[in-house]
Amino acid sequence: MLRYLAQRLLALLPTVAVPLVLVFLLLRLAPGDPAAILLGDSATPDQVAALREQLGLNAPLWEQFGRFLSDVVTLRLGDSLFLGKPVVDVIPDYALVTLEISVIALIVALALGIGLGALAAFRNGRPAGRIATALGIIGISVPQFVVALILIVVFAAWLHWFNVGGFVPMSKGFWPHLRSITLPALSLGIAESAFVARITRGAILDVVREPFVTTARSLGVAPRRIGAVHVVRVAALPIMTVAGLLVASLLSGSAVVETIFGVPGMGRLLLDAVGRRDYSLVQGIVLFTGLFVIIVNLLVDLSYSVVDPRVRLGRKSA
Amino acid sequence: MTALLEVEDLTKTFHVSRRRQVTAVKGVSFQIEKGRTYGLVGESGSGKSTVARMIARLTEPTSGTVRFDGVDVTRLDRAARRQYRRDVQIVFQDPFGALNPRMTVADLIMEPLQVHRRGTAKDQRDRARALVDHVGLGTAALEKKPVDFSGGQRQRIMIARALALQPRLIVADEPVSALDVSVQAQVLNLLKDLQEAFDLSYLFISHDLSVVEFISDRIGVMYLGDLVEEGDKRDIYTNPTQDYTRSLIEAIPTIEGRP
Amino acid sequence: MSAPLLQVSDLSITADTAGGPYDAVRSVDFDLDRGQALAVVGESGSGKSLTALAIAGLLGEKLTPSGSVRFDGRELIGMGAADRRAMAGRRIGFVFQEPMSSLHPILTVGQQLEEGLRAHFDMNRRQRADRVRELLDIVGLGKARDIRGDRIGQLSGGMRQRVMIAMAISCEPELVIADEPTTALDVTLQRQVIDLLGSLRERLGLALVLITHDLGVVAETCDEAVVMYGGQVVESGPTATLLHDPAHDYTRALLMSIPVLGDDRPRLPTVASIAPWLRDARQDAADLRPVTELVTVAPGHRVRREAEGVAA
Repeated sequence: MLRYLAQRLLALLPTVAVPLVLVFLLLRLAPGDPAAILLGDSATPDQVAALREQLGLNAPLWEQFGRFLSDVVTLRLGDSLFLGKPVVDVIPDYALVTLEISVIALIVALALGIGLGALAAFRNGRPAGRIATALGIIGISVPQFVVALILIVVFAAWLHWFNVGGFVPMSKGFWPHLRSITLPALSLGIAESAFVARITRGAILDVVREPFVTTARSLGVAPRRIGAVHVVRVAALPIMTVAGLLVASLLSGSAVVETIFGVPGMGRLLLDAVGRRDYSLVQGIVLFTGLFVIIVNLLVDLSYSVVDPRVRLGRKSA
Repeated sequence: MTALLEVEDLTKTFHVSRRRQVTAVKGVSFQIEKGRTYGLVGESGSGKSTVARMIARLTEPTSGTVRFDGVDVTRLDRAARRQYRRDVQIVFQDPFGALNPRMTVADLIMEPLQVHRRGTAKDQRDRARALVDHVGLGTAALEKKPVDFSGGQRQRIMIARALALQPRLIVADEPVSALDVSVQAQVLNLLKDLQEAFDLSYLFISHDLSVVEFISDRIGVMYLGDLVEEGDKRDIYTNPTQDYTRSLIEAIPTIEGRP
Repeated sequence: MSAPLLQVSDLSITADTAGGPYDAVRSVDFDLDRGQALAVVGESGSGKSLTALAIAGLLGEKLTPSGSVRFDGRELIGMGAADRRAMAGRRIGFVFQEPMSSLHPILTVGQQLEEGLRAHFDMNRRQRADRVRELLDIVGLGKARDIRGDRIGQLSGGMRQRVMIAMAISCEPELVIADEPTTALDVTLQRQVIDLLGSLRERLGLALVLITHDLGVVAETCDEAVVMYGGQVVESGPTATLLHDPAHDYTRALLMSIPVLGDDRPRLPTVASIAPWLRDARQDAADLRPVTELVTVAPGHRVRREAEGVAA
């Protein structure tokens, strides 16, 4: 297992290089002078020249990249133009909120998606199954903001269970905080669950048709056990892949729900930063998100190898 | 009679990983006479399919020579290589996977002619019609797709396709192994008929000694990469000299009970 | 003489296809005594595999059996799912054709061999482990390295087939149905499996239904045989009779079209050339098919003939 982990980490390096290189080029490819961009419209030529010197923008490109890498590693990501604080100080609070929403959304998406997908698969062709499948198709076609709006209308405007918008930070109390992020998390989770349901249904139906399921039946294994032990281990793999992809999807989708619900998360921060040309902040957020998604997918890879040991044993076992 | 195909010391080594290598074929030598059938029999892992692929130039040998009509085929110029590909055709085992399901039978048979630019479109059509006839399928088959045919019929389509370029040697890799018994007989008969009609030579690969013995003139027995025994078909059966050949013969379940 | 272990009467299987219902198997009859071996012989499309699956209760959803299959006096057709499950593995074992796809790709050999035990017996972990070791020993996989922790991808073809057989006998069934157990194997492995099945029969007193198209295998393993063609039984009787003195054209044609070692014939007779009137019955509409019936030509030997005195 350790060997497999080492292999995966090594394979990670090229992948990690991609967001780093892209972010590095981001600033330098934008029209205009990087230093001028960083300082904004109100900067004087002297300030610009000084910053150019300070940031080493006059040095050759590869030297700049080296500096960039060391900056990233030491977390010197510059200051936010508009918030006036170092980027590394700004991101954590917003990231935490997004993370909370994303985790709840992930749980909702997986629970609802797998449940619906399994129902559709095991009751395939029967009324319950058809309804579940239909819900899945409808769910995929409905965008997140529509789900969000529907939830707002039903649960906030009609039932008054939640407030329409407004974010309550943790400092003002755990439960009020939780209530304020419930609808955003739910909208995100429900919207993504449809895809999970489709994949789950497909995966289970494929496995159930396999000959080894007939073998289990020939031994008199109870249907419940066939499903839970024989089918799940094989069907789990594509579902896990989807879960990994889901994380990336949730992080980008969170921007939408955060904007609708007025929640100060990283997605909204990124949108604002882009709008305000706050390049340092954009850079920081992109880096953070990119690396985060890569690490999550590494974890998915590792958990693969637990469910299907053939993955880590390689050619020998297949 | 000069041999049409001479294989000398043919070897193929695969590098499975950085440290491990597998020698699938170890210095195999044999000859195929013009108009005759050489049967290569062995179990899985014996290397017989690898030999077939090397002769059909689908894989390059690690060492050794393959001489066709006296000429070493491993060092041919482009034009000669093309000619070799016309002279030697291969028929595979799986009638279900080897034919493109989206092409009609006519397209499948004409494709080799188109690739090698033989004849006009009309010539190619005529040839396809003639070939379908030769293999015992009616011309109505030309416009159908593989899915409309049974395993045995698809095998005939493959054979027609293999005949398109008027080859001199056909390498048949387990051509009847996936077929039902009664269909197998039909295809074997067809192969024999075609051999007479077109003066074809065959390299017939199979794990079934009975089938190989029926169709071949000479038989080679392979075991783990080595050609352990070789001889005329009658000799192999009546007088096997090697233990492995003997065990192969004895393992075959026969209708009379234990042989 | 005790009653037969298995009595199949008028077994038919209808398939629910896109083009309407289709009779895949029509009116199959045969009996099997305890400890006896019977072969169901046929080519693809003959219905032999479906017959086997019907007896074992493993038909897919779109296939409906009718008629009667009595096992030890109990009627299996129409039996409830729970009762069927209680019998599956415990009284009737099944060996499938392709071990590579019929065994679970991820669960270990040991885990898979325990599944039948878990379903039918109340054993603790130690007892199960002992039984698994015993099973591997019985099928000849005990002396080599311990494969209980391996996955099937790590085993050779012959080993996989033995694991498949071990699974089928794991709960000590009285009947084992083997669907083409030797077809995918090389000749020497085939020999090992045939010998293994023979020794298991002797040792455990198993009755065997062997589905195959290989008449040589039939000759060496089975006392009785049933030949199927186009979903029907065309001939049945003692193996020796069927192989040396067949009464039906199809059986005769099958025998003649197989190449045997030392064969001198320049061409093989084919079923089509020996019995050209044998058309796939499916091609005819039901009312155009000649009416046939199974006729007893000698004790225990039946042949399908056109019914006498019936207008076509």
